[in-house]
Amino acid sequence: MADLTRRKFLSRGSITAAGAIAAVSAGPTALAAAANAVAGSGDDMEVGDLSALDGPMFVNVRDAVTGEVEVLVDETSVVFNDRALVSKLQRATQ
Amino acid sequence: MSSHREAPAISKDPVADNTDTYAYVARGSTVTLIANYLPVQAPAGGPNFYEFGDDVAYEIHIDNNGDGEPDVTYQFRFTTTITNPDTFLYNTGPIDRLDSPNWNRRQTYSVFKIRRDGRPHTAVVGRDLPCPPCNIGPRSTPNYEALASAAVKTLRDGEKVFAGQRADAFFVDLGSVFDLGTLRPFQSLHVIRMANSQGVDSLKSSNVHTLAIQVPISELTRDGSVPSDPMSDLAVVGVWASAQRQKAVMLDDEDRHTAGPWVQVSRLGNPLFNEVLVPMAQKDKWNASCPSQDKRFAQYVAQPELAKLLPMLYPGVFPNLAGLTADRLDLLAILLTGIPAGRIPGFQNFTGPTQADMLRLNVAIPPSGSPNRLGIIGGDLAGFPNGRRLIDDAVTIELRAVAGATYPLVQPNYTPDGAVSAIEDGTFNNPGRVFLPDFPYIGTPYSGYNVPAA
Repeated sequence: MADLTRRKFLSRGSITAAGAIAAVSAGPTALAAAANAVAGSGDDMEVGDLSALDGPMFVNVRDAVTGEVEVLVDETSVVFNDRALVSKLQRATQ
Repeated sequence: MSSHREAPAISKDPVADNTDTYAYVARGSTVTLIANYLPVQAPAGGPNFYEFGDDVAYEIHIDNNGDGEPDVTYQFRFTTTITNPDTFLYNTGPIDRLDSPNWNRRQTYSVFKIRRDGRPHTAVVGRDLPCPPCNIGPRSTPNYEALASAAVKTLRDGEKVFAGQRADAFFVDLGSVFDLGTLRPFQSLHVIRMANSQGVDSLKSSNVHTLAIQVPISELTRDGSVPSDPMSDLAVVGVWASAQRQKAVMLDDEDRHTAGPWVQVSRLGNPLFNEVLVPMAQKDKWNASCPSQDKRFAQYVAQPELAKLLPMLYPGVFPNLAGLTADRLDLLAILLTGIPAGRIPGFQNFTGPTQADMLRLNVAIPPSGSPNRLGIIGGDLAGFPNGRRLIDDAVTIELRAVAGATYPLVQPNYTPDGAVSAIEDGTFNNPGRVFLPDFPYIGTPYSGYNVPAA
């Protein structure tokens, strides 16, 4: 059982956004690949085929200082570090 | 209650709240597994009558190697459809069959069978199976028993299955026991004395939503056998049920979006384990964890708070219990490892050293011809805590066990207090609690038309 329960997740008060941050299709492999792409390329990354994303995607900033982000899509999640992404999300909320 | 509102978080999420789990050997070398959810339903609760959650994954688990992890899981996933978007009504005329056009809001479900024991694994074994409607009343559901019978289906591998509303089989004097631990037989002996009175079944005439599945024993044992020797370790399986929700939920206008891995929010093996033994601050954690991790809760079984409270609440009534300060090895065995061989003639349901809260069912013990509601402490080896049957008086059995009735299993020189055998929940004799002679066994739900009675 994951340490992060649904209740903790919802009460964390983190930045949570429903929207595409990368072109992915549902599934852990594609999600991990997308996460690596996001982590490595920042604003300069090439935008892929966003229409491939089917269904909601949630982004949970678990630790803004380290840039730890969890992305949830379909029945999977992936965690990676991307401070640039967190900064971008933060700017979008201001 | 067994687990109807037993923890802070799940009490706010009744659709996912597992209330009771049952496991018993039925006819024809099968085991009946029942998991109830959605507690304390008032039968008249319309027009939005009760239903399973489309966004909940309901599961019944079987452990057949004693590690507290599931080896076989039946997962139930539901889909709700509205056939007439222009009415506020649940039904626009009598529902006389499961495909009645008068029935506006209905549910179907799929069953997934997930094996982790090396035999052929995950598969959809049932799809688009119908739930019956709720029992509305004589004009809306005039032949409810026929509707429910039509919703009994057979899965791909031969299991019978049913999912829908049922009368709650559990009974308990909840209003009394949580009013500072009042046991009705001893009210006059409580530190706050009151006149004795009869037990009141707090769940009388309330409904639940039931998942029931009747499984060939060979589908549950780790070697695919049908054991006939009760002393064989192959004969014992562990059973519990759970509910999961996805990790992320977002409400967006009328839409509800979910994503992410499934996270367990409710579980239930032995009745009353989380409710009575686990401290309030730990209950949500217990609900989110797997039985294999229950070692961290063993201290609350070894030194149950209730066993300390009884002598204080009833001065002079439980002197032997008051002097019993050793760890309760009897309760640790009954609830967390099973009862080893040599304690009860002809019986064991030991699953090994892993401490895990599961119903432990010895499938080689045949059904009793004359069941005793007190199960094993009543001399009936086919009853709780050998699995759990619908008729078992779980509250009385566990109150007596905590009060010392089962301690002689591990310390034969211990004499339980005389009052222990007088402890009664006092709600067993409810003539309205009627079980069916055939699967799914659990009784027809109460309709709102006559309940509560005028």
